[in-house]
Amino acid sequence: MLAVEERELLVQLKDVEGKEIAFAKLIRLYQKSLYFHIRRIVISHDDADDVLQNTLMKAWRNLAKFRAESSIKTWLYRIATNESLTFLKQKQKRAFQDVEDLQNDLRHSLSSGPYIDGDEIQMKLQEAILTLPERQRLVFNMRYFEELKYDEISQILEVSVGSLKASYHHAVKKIEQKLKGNT
Amino acid sequence: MKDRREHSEELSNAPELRKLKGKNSFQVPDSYFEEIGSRFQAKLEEEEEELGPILGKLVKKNVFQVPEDYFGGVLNRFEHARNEEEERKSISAPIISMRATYVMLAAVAVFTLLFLIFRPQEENIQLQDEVALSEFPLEDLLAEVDPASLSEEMLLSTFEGEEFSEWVEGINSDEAEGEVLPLEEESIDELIEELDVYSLEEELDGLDLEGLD
Repeated sequence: MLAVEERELLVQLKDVEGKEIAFAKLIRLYQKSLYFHIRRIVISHDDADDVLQNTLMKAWRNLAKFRAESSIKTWLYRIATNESLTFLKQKQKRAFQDVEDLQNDLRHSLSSGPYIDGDEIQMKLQEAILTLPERQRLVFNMRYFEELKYDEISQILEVSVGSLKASYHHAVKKIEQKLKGNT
Repeated sequence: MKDRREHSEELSNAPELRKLKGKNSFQVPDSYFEEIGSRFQAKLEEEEEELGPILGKLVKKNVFQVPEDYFGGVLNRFEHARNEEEERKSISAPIISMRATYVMLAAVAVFTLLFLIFRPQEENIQLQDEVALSEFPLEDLLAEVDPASLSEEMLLSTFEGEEFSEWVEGINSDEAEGEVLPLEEESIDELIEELDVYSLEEELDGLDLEGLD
């Protein structure tokens, strides 16, 4: 979105009468990218749908608090990331799972869940991504699939660009090794 | 073609602009366009190096699918959820305020109860303290009093027997003033005698009685 468009949308979002229309516009604009960002974290479609709705509700409730220090896109991505991670942690707590159990659960959703379609190598890549530590998984997905800039990822995760680059480098190395082992 | 002709006609009135047309004032380095291809190749190699030999060659594909027309319903579901939340808020707001009132009333009741339980005990303690404090000065004061002068004062302040009976009579006579006492026959005769009959007749003569039938 262009800076001028974003500024106009922000003005509309701050307007009491026009904010509902502006928010609807915002949803139409970012729903796909937000959904797939969430889906790559929680894997299951139903879970991603729940988290997307939670994200939108949270953004709506906190519109007044948004100070435009970052772009609307990175603000929404930050909410979506936090909501997804919170969702996974709650799921883990409810099922008395440890990190390994959660990874197995996600792998199971990936292999047997509906609305997943990929060839063998693509599925292996997804499985390899699931073995990564949380931060590396987030950084890899945002950089490799969503093609976000390091600056944007830095604002979303509130981590320095240098640290992000290191995380991405480690993630790539681990994935390469996993894929090499499988081929 | 038509646009170009129109544009040319427009510029016919501006010869200076016509001379400059077609000249590009923006310059690029000599080998810029020759190097574009090699720079693109270098960028690809760099990316491949960054990604590694397998990831670099892999075609990016999104394995995650969504149900048909899923994104067409996201906004509707959000609006539905938002309306539900606002409805819930409007219902729960008075309930919450009622609950808050009950909690406050309960707190006030508990506080009052505690106050009532503990207040007498505190007063007793205070009273005991005061008694304890006033005990010694009172004894001191009593020790300073002269018993002879005290008895004199007591004598002066009491009523004597006669004074008291006069005072009681006075009260009785005051009460009797308001009453209408029956007149005795003798006293009526005396009153009639006291009236001056002649002077009454004189007054009647003086009156103009002609107009009266």
